[in-house]
Amino acid sequence: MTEQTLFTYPEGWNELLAALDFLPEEQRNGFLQGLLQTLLF
Amino acid sequence: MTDVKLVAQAMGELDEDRVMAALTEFVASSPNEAEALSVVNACQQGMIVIGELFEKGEYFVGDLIYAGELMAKAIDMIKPVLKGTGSSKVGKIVLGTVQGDIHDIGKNIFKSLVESAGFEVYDLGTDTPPERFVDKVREVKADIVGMSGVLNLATTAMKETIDRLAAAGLRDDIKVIIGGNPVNGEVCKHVGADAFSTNAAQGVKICQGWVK
Amino acid sequence: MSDPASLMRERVQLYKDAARHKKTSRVLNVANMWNWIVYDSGYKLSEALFDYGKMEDALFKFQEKYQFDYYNDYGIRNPLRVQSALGHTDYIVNDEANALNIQDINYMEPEDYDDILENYFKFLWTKYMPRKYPQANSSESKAMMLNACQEFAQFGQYVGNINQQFVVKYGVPPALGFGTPAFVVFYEILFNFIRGIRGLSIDIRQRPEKVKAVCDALRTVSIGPGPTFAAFKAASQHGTDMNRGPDLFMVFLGHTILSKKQFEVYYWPYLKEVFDFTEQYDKILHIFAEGENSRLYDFYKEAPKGHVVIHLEMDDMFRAKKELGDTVCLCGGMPVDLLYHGTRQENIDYAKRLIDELAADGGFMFSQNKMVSYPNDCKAENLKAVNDFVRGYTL
Repeated sequence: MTEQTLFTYPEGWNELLAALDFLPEEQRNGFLQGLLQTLLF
Repeated sequence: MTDVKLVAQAMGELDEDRVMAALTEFVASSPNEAEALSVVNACQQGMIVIGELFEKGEYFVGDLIYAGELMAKAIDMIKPVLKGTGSSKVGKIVLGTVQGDIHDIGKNIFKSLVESAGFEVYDLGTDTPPERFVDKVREVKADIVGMSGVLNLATTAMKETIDRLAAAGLRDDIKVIIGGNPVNGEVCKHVGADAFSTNAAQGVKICQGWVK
Repeated sequence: MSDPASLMRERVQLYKDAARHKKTSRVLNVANMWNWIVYDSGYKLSEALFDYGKMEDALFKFQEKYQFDYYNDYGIRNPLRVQSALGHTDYIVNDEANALNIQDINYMEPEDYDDILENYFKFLWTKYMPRKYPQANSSESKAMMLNACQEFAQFGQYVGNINQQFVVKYGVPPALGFGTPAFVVFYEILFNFIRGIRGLSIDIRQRPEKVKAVCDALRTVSIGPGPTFAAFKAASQHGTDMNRGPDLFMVFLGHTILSKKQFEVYYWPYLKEVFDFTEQYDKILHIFAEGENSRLYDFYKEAPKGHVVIHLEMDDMFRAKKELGDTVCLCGGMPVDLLYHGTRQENIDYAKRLIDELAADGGFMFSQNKMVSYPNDCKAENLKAVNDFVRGYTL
C-alpha cells in the first residue's frame, strides 16, 4: 500500500536524519524531535 | 428478572462492566416490553444520580462525557427489546451548536442528560445556521430550543437565531436556553434567551421546570 | 524612562517584584490577546497565519497602539505553515468570523498506551504521523518531511526574531508563553493532541492504570519544541533570569474536565515537582489556567510563595485573591464581556477596582480574563482607554 513511506522506526527515522545535511549530525535528532512536538499542534 | 435497582446503582457509579453484564443477562432472558422500559428507566435513574454527583463536585466534565457514552451503549443494547415503542415524552427540544462554532462536547453532555429526563431531542449538530433552527422548530412543533457554543463569537449567532425565530413568529411559543463557555446573565439578556446555564445538569432542571 | 532598554529593565523588575508580592509603583499589563491582534490590524486571519511578515506587522502596529508590558504569544501558537507542509492541519480558518476552529481529535487507540510507554517518539513517528498526516504517508513522504523541516526552521527563526524585536524596539521582555521555556504535564499532550477529550474521558474510566502509567513515565514535557522538564531542570542554574519575566511557563487546558480527585492523580504529582523546583532553584513559574479553577485552589495554595504567578481565566478574582492571594501572584481579571459591551467609563472603573482591590499589597498583574480572539471579544476604543489608564495609574 504505502511501501515507500518514511514512517518506520528506526529505518525511516534514520533515513530522514541522514537527509538533514544542513545541520551538524549531533543536532539532527533533537531537531526532528522538536519538529514532531510542533506537529502535535 | 434483572434487578433494576442494581442497574441504576451501577450506572450512577459509572461501572461499565456491571452495567453491561446486567444488561446482557437481561436481554438474554427474553424480556417483555414493560420490563425493557423499566430497565431503560433504571438507566435514566442512574443518569440522575450522575447529575447530582456532578453538582456536588464528586464527578466532573470528563465523567459526564463518559456517562453519555455509557448511556448510549446501554440503550443500544436494550433497543432490540423495545421494538420501537418508547415511553411518552415530556417535551420536544431542538438542540444545536450555533453557526460558526463546531464544539459539540457540551451539547452532547446536555443531550444525554436531557434525553434521560424524558425529552425528545432533535439534534441539529454543529455549525447550525439560524434557518435550520427555525425550520426544525416549525416542523416538530418544539417546546424548547437549546443553543450551545464555546467560542465567544457564538453569542452573536445565538442572537441572530433568536431574532430569526421571532421574525418567523415562533418565538412566543417556545422557551430558549443557551449554554456554553461564553454565556452568563448579561449575554442571556443581550441575545434575548429565556435562560442560560454553563452546567448541563442545571440546564436540564430549567427545561423540566418549563414543561411541568 | 521611555527608551527600550530602560523599559525592558523596568518591566522585568516589575514582574519579579509582583511575583514576589512586593508593592510596586504600577501594575503590569499582560496581553492575553490572540487572533484579535490580527483582526485589529485589518489583515485577514488566513493571510497573517501563513505570512510571518504580515503577522509581525500586525504585532508591531498593535504594540504601538496599545503598549502592553508583556505578551502571552506573538502569533506563534498556531504554526500552520509547518503542519500545512504535510497536507493537513486540525484547524479551520474562518476569515469572516476571524475564527480558528478545532474539533476534538483522536490519533490513538487504547492499545497504543503501551507503545507510548515503550518509546514516545517512535509512537509519534510510526503511528501518530501517518494517522494525522495521511497525505504525507505516501511515496512523497520524504520530500514532504524535508519541506516541513524547512518550514520548521523558518518558524524557529520567526519565533527567535519576533521575541528579539519586541525587546529591541519596545522594551517588551520575551513572550510568557512562546518566548519562555514552556511545559505541560503529559496528560495535556494526551488531552489536546493525541487522544482527545472524548477518548481520554473514556480511558480515565476504562483503563486508568494505562493513563497513569504514561503520565508517570513522561511526567512534564515541552509544549512545542524543547527539552523535557527533567532536562531543563538538570541544565538550570540557581536564581531567576533578569532578561525575562518568568523563568518557565505552564499551560493548563485539560484540567477543565478533571474532578479534584482526578487532578490529584493525573496532574498534581508532576505539578508539585515543578513547584518544588521553583523554590529550590529560586525560579518564577507563570501558569495560564483556562476555565474556572476554584475547585483546585487547595492544590494551587501549595505553590511556594513568591515563585508562582497564575493567570486565572474565568475565576472570580476577588474570591481568588482571598483564597490564594497569600501565596500565589494572580494575573487576569479584566472581563472581555465588558471590553466589548461596556462603555469606556465602565471599563476604566472596573480596571480601577481590580487594581485597587487586588494589587494594593502586591501580587497582582492586570490582564484580560479570556483569550481575546474574536471581533466581539473586545472593542478597540475600550482596550485603548483601559491600557492608557492602567499604564498611568500609580499605586
